[in-house]
Amino acid sequence: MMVAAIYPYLVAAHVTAVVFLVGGLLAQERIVNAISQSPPEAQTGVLVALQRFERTVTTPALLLTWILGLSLALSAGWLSSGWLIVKLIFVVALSAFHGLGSGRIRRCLRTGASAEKIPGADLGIVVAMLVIAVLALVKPV
Amino acid sequence: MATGTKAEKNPHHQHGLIADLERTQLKRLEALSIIEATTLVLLVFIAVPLRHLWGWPYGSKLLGPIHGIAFLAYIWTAIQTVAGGGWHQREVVRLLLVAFVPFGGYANIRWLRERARTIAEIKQA
Repeated sequence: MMVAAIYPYLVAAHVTAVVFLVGGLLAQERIVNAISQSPPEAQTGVLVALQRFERTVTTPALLLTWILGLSLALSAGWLSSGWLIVKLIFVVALSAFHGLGSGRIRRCLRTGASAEKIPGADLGIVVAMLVIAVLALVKPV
Repeated sequence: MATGTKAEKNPHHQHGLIADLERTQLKRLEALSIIEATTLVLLVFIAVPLRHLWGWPYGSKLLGPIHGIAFLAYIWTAIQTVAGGGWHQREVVRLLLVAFVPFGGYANIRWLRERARTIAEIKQA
């Protein structure tokens, strides 16, 4: 009874966290893409700002996405559903991409190397998000 | 962009931030390592025996999801840390393996502190 009462609020909080996570990931890729042609010394200020943004917005959003998403899956008994397992593959891929991306920014700041864009990363984020949204809403299997 | 411009105008602040990045990251990994190890020990040595020997399932019902999140947070932070570069393959494997062994995370504490100290010494030299 109690789970049913808070379910829509859990979904709303989960979707909000996902919006911040995917928005942060996409913004990070677009900004790195925009500065990739600049010399490393000109990139430092933007990379510092990106690193701070990642620490204060994208990573907390990632943590909340996982906590709220797993709470929803546990409360609704979806953990063995096929659609959720496929969705989790995309979620794990996005999470790993975020971890590697933020590590890349730290490495560039530490070593003074130039930040380079990853070809197709932004398109990959959009496609992954679309697949996740379809699986979560349609729940095909 | 505005923050970046501000940081460019304040090179001392920016340099200090960059110098502290690795140390802060190692501290974060150490904290998560302790949380992950503690929840695993509580789960394996207290909650699971309580469930199977005394029929009290609530401990594992509570600690299971908490340990699950702690495990994911540790693995993710380990990936984020090694993505910053400067880690040997053997060290990466060790970082990931300790998450599966009870008390394993505690072995990280001294190691990560020594690494942070080495980084600080290199920066001072």
